[in-house]
Amino acid sequence: MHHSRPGSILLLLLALTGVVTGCKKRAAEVTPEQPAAQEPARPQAPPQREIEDTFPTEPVRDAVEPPRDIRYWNELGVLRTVFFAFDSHDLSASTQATLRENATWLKAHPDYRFVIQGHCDERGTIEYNLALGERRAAAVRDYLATLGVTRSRMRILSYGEERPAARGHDEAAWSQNRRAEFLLEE
Amino acid sequence: MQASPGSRLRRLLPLLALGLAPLPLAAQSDADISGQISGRSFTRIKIATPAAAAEPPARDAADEVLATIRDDLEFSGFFDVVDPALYRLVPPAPPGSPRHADWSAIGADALVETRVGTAGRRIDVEARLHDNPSGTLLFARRYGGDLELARRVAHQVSDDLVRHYTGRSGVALTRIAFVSRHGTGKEIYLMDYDGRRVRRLTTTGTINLSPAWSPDAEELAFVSWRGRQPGIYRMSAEGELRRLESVAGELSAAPDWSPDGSQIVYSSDPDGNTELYLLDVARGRNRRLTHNPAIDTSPAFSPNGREIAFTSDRSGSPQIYLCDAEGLNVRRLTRTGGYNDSAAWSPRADRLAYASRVEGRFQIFVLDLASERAVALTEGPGNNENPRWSPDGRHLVFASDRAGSYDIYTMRADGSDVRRLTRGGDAYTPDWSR
Repeated sequence: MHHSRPGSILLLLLALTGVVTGCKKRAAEVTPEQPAAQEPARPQAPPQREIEDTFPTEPVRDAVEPPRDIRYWNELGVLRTVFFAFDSHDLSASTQATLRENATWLKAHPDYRFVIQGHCDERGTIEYNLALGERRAAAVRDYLATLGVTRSRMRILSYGEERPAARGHDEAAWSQNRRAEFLLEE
Repeated sequence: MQASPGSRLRRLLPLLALGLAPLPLAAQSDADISGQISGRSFTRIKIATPAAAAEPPARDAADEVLATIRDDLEFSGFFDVVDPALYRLVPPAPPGSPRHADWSAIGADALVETRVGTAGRRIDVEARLHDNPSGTLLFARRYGGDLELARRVAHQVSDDLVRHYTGRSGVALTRIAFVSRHGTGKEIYLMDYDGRRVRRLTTTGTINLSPAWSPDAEELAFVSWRGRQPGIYRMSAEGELRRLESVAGELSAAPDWSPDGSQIVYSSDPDGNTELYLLDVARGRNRRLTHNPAIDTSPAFSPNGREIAFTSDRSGSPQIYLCDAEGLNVRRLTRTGGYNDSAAWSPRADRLAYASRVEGRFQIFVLDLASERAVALTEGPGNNENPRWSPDGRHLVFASDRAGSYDIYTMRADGSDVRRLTRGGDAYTPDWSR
């Protein structure tokens, strides 16, 4: 294939851009009949695209331990977990009974604040389950309020399906995961 | 002696090989194969990728660079890499002067020559793309970086090859953010689009979820339970972390950026039920979008920023809806399936991918917005959730437990070429960067 036309266009474009670049001398690229004097002068190192990386790993943070009495009550489980039916945030009769007992303890220990954590089983999508867990925690909070527990002591949050109590893939595990848990906090 | 035109060209090639922008070769011959890509249909470019030239100390790096480029070209779907077993049929030639006729004879219309050098902690790559039928050099470039980033250097070469033929960068340098179990918690991770170079970003010991890339891929928003309230955070490329000034509520989740990066839409729960909110990031001001007792969540900004797809159970079960950027003009999109969630817009806004529960398991569907027809992309055992599009709209990333536990997978936008990216790490909620 005759190369002259692309060759002369290349020469023209080079002339127009006025570029003079250096060239790493590699013996294989220079054929014997090219006199060295025809190589252009080499100024600085040729331009090169630099590749970089981003997003470092964040450092470890110190864990904050709750006070001893709060740890004690939480480990003892004085406030018992309640459970829910599939896809529901209704409070069953046995759930209500458990919540009445929790309310008794809470009213006897009025200085403690606590959080109600709503959870779901793994069925359903991650984001919808976050909202459902929230609904469950809110239902528990509202019921405790009707039993006389002060609202300002309570906060709610949801873990959706992210923190299962049981890791199986059957109703035995799922029924343990559809729950609201209690944690005393500062 | 008068230099022949051919030898004049050979003398110029070393100069071209030094970082100049590709020269527009205006007098391209008819044999220029870049004309093969036009509109929607194209013929795959048959390209040869012979082993990189390298001195012995750089051999390993050179092999990794070459293997990366080959994988990237195959993944892109624009190229057919000519079988390397045939390359030995082409006699060796000085670099810059390949034997075009011999390469054409083994079926290679295009040829990528690479040279890799290493010096201390640095790697240097030089790549030249040739068109064999016309015997012309299409481009010549140099790239450099830390030796640890050798694969990313190779990805840049691949992206430039794709850009040469299609006018748009390839996706080889893109990354996938996702969540994976780590110790007692779930942390945010990054990996390259091909599943390599997995690394952890957060160190919290608690739950983190739903990473969302900013449009310029310079920030990641995500949900974290690291504070007293689960909230939305932003991490910059330099590692700076900020909590979003979302509406005070027990749970803020499901962040998604507007296409100009000025707003984040998310769900929050100020009064006992989950609604959608819009945050003006610079001003820190929030605006409520939905007002009903249903759960409204999983918002997704359309690529033109004018509409938001979201999930609502206002009809009794989770379905996908559209509203405008003020939360008005709500209309329902999904009509089949009893549980639809996680809408994701294709980059051209012509399709929505989402997860739909079929016979008790989630499958990925794609809804064509013009025809309103939905097609299943996945089927079979297991659940397939949280689909997100690649920036060129040709692939999807998703989480699936088809192999037992949840891992991150990619597939072509037609459901073919499913590839598993993570192994056994309990990986979820992926998002694909630009």
